[in-house]
Amino acid sequence: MRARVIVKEITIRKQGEVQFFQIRLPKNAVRIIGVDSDIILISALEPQVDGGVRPDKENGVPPFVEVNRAPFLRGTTKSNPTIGKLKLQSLDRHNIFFETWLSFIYLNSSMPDMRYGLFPKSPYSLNRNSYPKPVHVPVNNMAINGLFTDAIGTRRQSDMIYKVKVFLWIETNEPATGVNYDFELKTNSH
Amino acid sequence: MIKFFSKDFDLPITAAGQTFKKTFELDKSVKVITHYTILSNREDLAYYRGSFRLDINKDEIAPDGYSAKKVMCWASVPADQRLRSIGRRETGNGLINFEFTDTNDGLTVFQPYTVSLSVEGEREE
Repeated sequence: MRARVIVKEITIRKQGEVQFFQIRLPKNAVRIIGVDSDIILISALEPQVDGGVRPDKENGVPPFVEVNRAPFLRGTTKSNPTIGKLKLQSLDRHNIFFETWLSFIYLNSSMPDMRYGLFPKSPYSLNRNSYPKPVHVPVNNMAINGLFTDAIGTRRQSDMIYKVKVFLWIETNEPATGVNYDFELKTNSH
Repeated sequence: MIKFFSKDFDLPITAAGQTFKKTFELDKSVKVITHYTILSNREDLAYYRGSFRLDINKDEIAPDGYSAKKVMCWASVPADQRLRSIGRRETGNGLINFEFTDTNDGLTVFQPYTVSLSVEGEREE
């Protein structure tokens, strides 16, 4: 058994676009062990410094009440914009087995390591590298259906062009004695 | 006697929107690769624009189109957790094939930069 990654790339061009896609798996796939994703913004993304406007209106007039989206420690952090929603479906499972909001992650948007070896790890003192979200879906069919719904274009009311990459970590029946990816071990411990 | 091994291999990215390939050769004393990551002199460009393909001894570690940001380390990650574990990959013929693809995006303006494939493993003496 060993792990491999399947990369699927789709391009979103229109405001509110909904795109169906299919990810084909190799014949030696045994199960899906993790899902990861990435966004590549082709359109420029200007920061919304006003924090956005509430979508609700009074008497047809926007109230211009600012939603406070200023993050903690404003001077050093940026909020990562939500881009859209990803859903994955397998014929081997009822309904949808993976669903998440995808965010665009800025470089170094997280906070620095402030534990200095003195404090215990916590989400506020320490970040870590991204890992695939572990899932356990046996594979009998060689195709996974996906659905991506645009959200940032709808919110900004403009056509945002971006690429969405879906990384499907699968386990195959290839022989690879003693070889494991570190997150596989974490998956197995669940 | 088994000793710790670590090395960086540089690949200059000189044009926007293109793929650059290079084959690196490991010393024969290097037997196993256990961790890798991608570093750059312009982290922002490599992070926002980069995707790569990597195989060691013809064994695919990352497929074509795998995003560089998935293995790049953050400044906020502890130093001992920054490299991505790949188990124990035997080096065999000692060849590392590395392809890096630059993609134009809306956040950055291209300038020539260098990406480094940093690997860790074991060597015998």
